[in-house]
Formats: sequence, structure tokens, C-alpha cells
Amino acid sequence: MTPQGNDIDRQAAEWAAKGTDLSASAQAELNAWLDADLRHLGAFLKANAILVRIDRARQLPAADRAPASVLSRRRLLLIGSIAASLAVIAVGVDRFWDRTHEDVYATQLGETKLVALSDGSQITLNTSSKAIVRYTTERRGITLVEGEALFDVAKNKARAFVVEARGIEVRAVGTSFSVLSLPGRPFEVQVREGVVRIERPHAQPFLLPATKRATIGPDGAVTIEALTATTLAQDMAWQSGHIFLQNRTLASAAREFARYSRTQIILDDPAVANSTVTGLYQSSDPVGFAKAAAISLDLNVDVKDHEVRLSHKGP
Amino acid sequence: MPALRPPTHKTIAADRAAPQNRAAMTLDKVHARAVWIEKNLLPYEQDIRAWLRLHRTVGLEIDDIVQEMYAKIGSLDSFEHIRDPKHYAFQVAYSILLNFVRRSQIVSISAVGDLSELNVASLEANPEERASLRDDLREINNAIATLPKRAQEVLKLRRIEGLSQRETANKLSIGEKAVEKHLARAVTMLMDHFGRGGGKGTPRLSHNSEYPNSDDENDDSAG
Repeated sequence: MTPQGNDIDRQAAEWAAKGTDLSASAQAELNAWLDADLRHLGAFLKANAILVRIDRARQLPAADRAPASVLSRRRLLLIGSIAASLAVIAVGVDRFWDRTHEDVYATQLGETKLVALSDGSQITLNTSSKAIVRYTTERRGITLVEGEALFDVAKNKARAFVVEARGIEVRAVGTSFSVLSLPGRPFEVQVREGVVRIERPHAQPFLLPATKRATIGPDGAVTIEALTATTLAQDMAWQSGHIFLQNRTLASAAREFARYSRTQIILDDPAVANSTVTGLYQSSDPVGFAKAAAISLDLNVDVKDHEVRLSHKGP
Repeated sequence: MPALRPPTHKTIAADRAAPQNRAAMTLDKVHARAVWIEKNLLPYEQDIRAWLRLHRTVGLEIDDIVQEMYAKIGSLDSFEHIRDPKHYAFQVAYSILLNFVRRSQIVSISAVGDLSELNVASLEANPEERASLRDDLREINNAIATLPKRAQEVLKLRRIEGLSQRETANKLSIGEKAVEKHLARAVTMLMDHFGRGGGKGTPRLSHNSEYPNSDDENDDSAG
């Protein structure tokens, strides 16, 4: 490489690094520099082409990216403080490559995952859930493909944080909210802090403030209810690997446990299915739950591989 | 027979002063042009350089030709008529070389040969080759991974997360000037990487020695 050519490239890179938002005097200086020599313009165009190439690399699918580098100390501390209560943790790695244009995060049955996003926001994914993260300079876009997730959003007014699921958009600035999108269940948004804006096709958008829950049925009907601090905490029990049940029928408890475990709770008798229970249970332990329910309701428990059966005690 | 007189840099610079080329080039147009160049010219710069090395001539640097090639094509009113950018880029590089030879009166034009000698048909990239050159995003990833750590951090915050220069500076606890410097350094090194070598294989920054120990934390003083 000639020193001359390299000098021009370097100057061009310096101009390109300044971006397009130049002061009037800088703009004049750049014009003068570009006018001085045709090679300057060529190098300047190439420098900008390099920036385009850098930006383009954001498209690299997560699976193709280079292996993760070592986690920073700060993140390790973060992990240390939460690890005890979470089954599995995935944390975005430091190499910027690994958290860029489109990242897919998913949890298996019974798994909970904390995802640290590049802007400081966090997603906590509940069991069998999948989210796609698409960050651009203007928008922090998340698609909740299925399942349930809690979003702790770092404040940035210039860059909206938008969660999309089933065509519904939940838009936030700096807040904490959860979204539940499961087949056969109404769409649910709960706001812990701040306020979110919910937008749906062919409907007026509406604001949902903190400590409120919006339930959107398949017909589009919206129900909004207030949540006490206690119910909010209970609904977020999944974050620590628990299921909170309050006066829930065994049938609905069985459905809830089925979200987390392959072991099915089988209820043959409708009378058994309609008995109600209250308590805080380990989401990964349907058998433990069934045994506890059997004791309090005086039922028989029959544990087999991948199933636990609750029934009336025989004569 | 005219005297063999290598052109001085001054005369070349005078030839290259071309405000009319820049006049049409407002900054908002630069991005659109850069997008086209990234896709259609950058992948072939190494091939063009390889060909130019075979026709090296006294007093003419390959870097000069390549920069002029980018300037001439990049300042066209439109790229629509360019069906085969690789072929076109070779033609432009060839005409720059030819002009130089004519001006300098050093060697006869026949010494350079005519365009047919380029055998441009064989140079045309097949679709697969073009796709692999352009779409090897992993290669971009690898190239960036070889940059100094600070430069990578700045690239991440500025280009990927879209932070402003000031926000980037605050986040890294360095000065704004240092942010600009690191970004410029990253761009310079990648210009070298993608234009001159290493773009099609193992990442290789051929001029690392210019950036001793790369990290150069001294640059990070607030500025």
C-alpha cells in the first residue's frame, strides 16, 4: 500500500466517521476537501460503502454468528444474583455481533430464560415461549411468537419499544410489562410500571397504565381490571419458577402445569376436576402439586411415567 | 521523440481537481451511492487491483486508480445503465490507466494493451460467485472481530445500537473525539481489509503494524 493512498483513505474514513449531521463549517471543509482531488471523493464513497457493509452485517442470523466471547464481570454479577431462582439463563454476550439485527430466543417446556438486550432492557421468557428481537436505530421491535414474557424496558424516548403478538402491538417507552399469547387463551397484557399503548388492527389504540391488566378475547373484546400489588406479584410467580393458584379448579391447575412439564395431571372425575386449590407451587413439580392437592382434598394419587392421576378414594 | 518526463504530483493533482464531480454529490446522496457501491463495486476491488498489478507502470499507484475509479463511477448521475458492474469497473479502471499513460508519455499505449486484452467476459462473476462474495456476512463478522477492542465497542454502539456520538462517549467514558477516532480507525482498517485483501478468506489485516497494539488506550482521553 502506498502511504499516499492510505493517507487519503484515512482522511476519508475520518470524514465518514463524522456522519452526515455536520455543522456548516465542517460541511464547507468537507466540500473543499472533496473538491481538492478526485481521489478524495472516491475514497470517501468507499469509506461510506464500508459503513454500509458494517450495517448490513446486522442481518447475520444468530446461529451463524461467531461463538460467544467471555461474559463481562458486570454480567457475571448479574447472573450470580439471579441464577438461584431461575432454571436456565441465557444472557446476550458482549460481542456486538451476537445481539443485533434479528435474534431468536426460545424456551423449552419448563424452562425460564432471562435475556439481556443490548439497550439494557430485559426479557424474561416463561415456559415454551419464543421471541424474536429486531433492533434498529429507530425501533426496538420484539415479536412474541408464542408463550409469555415479561419485558423490563430501558428508557429511551427516541426509540420505541414495541412488542407484537397476534397482530396486536404493545408499545412502551420505559416500563415493565408482561404479555401472554397462548393458543386457546385470551391475549393478556399486564403492566407493572409505567404505561403502554396497545394497538390493534381496525380498533382504537388505548393506554394501559401500571397495575392494570388488559385481556383481549378472540372477538376483540377488551376487559381491563385493576391488579393489587399482591396479585401482580402472584402473577409474576413464574419468574421464580412458581405457579400461584388462588381458588383455581384442579382442571385449570392441570392446564397451567401442562405449560411447564411433560408430566400430565389426569383428572377422570368432573367432581375432582372442579375442586379448587390455593397455594404457591413449584412449576417444575406437578407430582408434588398433585400429592399436596390429594392430601388437602383427600384424593388418591397414582404416579406413573409422565402422568399423575388424581381420583376419589375408592370405597 | 519526446523526453521521458514523469509527471509531477502537482500536475496530477491539478487534473484531479474536479468540483463538477462533487457538485452533484450532496451528503444525503452519498448514502444511496454507498449502498450501490458496497453491493456492486467493493466485491471486485481486489480483482481490479490484481489486474492492475499486472500492468503496473512507473509513477502510477494502484491506490490512485482505484480511488479515481470509485469517484468516477460514484459520481454518475445514475447507475441504471450499468448492467455488469464488474465489467464496467474494469473499463473505468482501464481508461484511467490509459489516460495516465497518455499524459505521462512514459510508455507507449501499446505497452498497456487494449481492452480486449482484459478479456472481461471471463471476469464476469457468475451469480453464485457474486452472491457468495456479497453475502458472506460471516466474513464481515470475522473482519470486524479482528479490529481493536475499542473500535469494536464503538462500532457496536454507534452503528448497531444507533447511539449518538455523545451517548457513545458517555457510555464508554471516553471523549467524543476519541469515539470519532475509533470509528475512523475501524473504517480505515476495513477499507484496507475489503479492498486490498483478506476479503475472500481468512481475515487478514495486512497493515496492522500501523496500529501498534491496536487498543491504544491513550486515544481515549476526553477530547
